[in-house]
Amino acid sequence: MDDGGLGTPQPAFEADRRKVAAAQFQKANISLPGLWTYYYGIGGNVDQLGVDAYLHELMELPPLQMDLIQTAIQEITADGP
Amino acid sequence: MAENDALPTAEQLQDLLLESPGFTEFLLGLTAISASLLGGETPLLCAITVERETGPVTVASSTETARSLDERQYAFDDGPCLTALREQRTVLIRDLQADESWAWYAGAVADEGIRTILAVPIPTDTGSRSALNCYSTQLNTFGPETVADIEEHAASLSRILRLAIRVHPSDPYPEHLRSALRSRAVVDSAVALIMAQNRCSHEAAVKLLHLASRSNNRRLHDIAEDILHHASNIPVIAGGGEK
Repeated sequence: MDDGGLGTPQPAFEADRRKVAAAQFQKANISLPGLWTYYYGIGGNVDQLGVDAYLHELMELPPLQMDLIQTAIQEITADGP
Repeated sequence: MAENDALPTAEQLQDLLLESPGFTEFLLGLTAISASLLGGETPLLCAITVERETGPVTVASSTETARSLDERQYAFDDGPCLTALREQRTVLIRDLQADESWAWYAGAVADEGIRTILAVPIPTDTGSRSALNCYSTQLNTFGPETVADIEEHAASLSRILRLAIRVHPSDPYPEHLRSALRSRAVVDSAVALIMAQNRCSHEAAVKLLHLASRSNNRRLHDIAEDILHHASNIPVIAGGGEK
């Protein structure tokens, strides 16, 4: 099972990824519920509040969840929501 | 039927119900029928609101303007259409600018050029309530005869609307949520297969799936679907024994 933990300690690297994800999210012009729904659809396990906090650089997430958020943003922008 | 040509035929309504994939689409078609039958020299904007005890309110409108006029009533939780719906009586605002009791609403919708409003209830079974709303930019659109015609028109929609409410139970999940749930079900099944094949943890399986999607440059959901349909292409942990 997932550990559901709030992140693994790799501060510098994680912070960079968050910034990139936040910037991509801003640029993609998609709604948070839209992103979260998609992210959930591909197997994401963090709730919408957590994703929101992550994209506002307030919270850390496990690497796999960050990957899934990034993939969600990429797949949504690849051919529209 | 002869004296009121604003009544749809039963076939027309049944066809609409048969051809509509969902309740929202049905309601949308119904407003289009109303608008086309009721509109005279000046076009009428029509909207139909259905409120159910269980589930959300559905609003369908013949035009974007009618939609925004209806939505503003919900923002205030009051308005001619909501009054018609909740009190099940006809509400006629002959002159929106002159009517003091609706002055606040006139202010709220002033920018749309609407001069007069008629809202009539559509009878439904207990557990749901419905109303048809007509908006016009022309004063004097709703004379006594027109009001009677529109009331009759609304009553003629009652049977098919009651049927539609039974056929399409209220759907608490909009389409994008349902598609996410379907996608998630596929992904979860694929993950379970990967776990069984590799005897690995859930997290490792999701990682593998994600990796497969990245390296093949394909959508994660598509990869998951492939795995389900061709159980042979299950990703395998390379080298064995990392996890």
